[in-house]
Amino acid sequence: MIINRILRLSNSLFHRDSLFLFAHTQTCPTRKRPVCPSSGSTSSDTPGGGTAIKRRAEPGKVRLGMFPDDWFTFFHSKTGVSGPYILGILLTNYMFSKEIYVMEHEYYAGLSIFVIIVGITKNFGKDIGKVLDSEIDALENELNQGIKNQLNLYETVIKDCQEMQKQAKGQQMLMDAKKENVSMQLEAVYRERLMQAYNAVKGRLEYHSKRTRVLNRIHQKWMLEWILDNVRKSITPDFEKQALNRAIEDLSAMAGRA
Amino acid sequence: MAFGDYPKEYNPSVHGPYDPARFYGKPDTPFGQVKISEIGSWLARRNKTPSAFMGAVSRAWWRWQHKYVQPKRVGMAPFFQLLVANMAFFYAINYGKIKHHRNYKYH
Repeated sequence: MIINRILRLSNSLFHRDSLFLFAHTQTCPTRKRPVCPSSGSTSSDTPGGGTAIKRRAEPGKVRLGMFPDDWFTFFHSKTGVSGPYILGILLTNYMFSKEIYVMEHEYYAGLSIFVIIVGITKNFGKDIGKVLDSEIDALENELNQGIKNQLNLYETVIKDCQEMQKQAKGQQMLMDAKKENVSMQLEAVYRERLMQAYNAVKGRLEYHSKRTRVLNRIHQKWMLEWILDNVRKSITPDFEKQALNRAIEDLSAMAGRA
Repeated sequence: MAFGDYPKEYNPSVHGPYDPARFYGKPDTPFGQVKISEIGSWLARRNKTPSAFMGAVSRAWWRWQHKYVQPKRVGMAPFFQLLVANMAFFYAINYGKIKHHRNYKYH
């Protein structure tokens, strides 16, 4: 049974119960239900069909660690490259000089923390980033590997099922070959017996023909004997004398002609 | 309409998987392209219910997240941005108290 083969194949990788859901049989066919709600419309006819959110690979660009790049390039046409920086400097100058931003004790504590944070980010940022990136890549590879393993498993199952189909076909061919074999044997026996019958009939016919020939020969022989006997009996001495005289006359006639 | 439901105009078979940063209502001119003279009419067309405000805030938050937090390789930018925003917000709400800690009387 195909289900047993499937279960045996993936014994080590899956729980037995979950595989019952994957086996497709006639009484319990697997239904093709789409994973995403919209995967029924994967073509481009429907608007938004198939537009899953793709995770970006790189984040938005920032300058000075936190300001988005768009803010700086937005002003390029009006003020040139240094515009936003000048704006920043002027703004901070205004805030400090008018003491809208008061430099109290909290400010100096924050300043120290700011220096420490910037120092750490500048010196160790890249290395920490590399470590974290490698971890993320490992996780992604693990997930992809899981998918690949399942695909390979299913491919193996498909191949084995196809093999079994071929074997089933081979069994059919075997049966046909056996039937052919038997019919050939029957034919051979039939011809043999036909030959026997023919020979028997021929023998009998030959016997009859030989018999009639023998009888004919015997009849001929006896008939000849009987006829000759009768003829010899019918030769009287009178007849003999006449025959002799006629013969002498014929001879003398022939001698006279010659 | 309870909390956490999908927006009414979202239709899975039409829009595909749900994108929390996307506005699913009737399309209108984006705010960056509205002319100064049209601002009044543009604002009048907006939906001003509380749930619409919440939706707008939520979409803005998700858009920021999609750009700076959810990508595969992010840097320190989102942390710094959140930190500075937090600092600015709390400075603003405490300004009345901090005003009295000025060092100079005349600026």
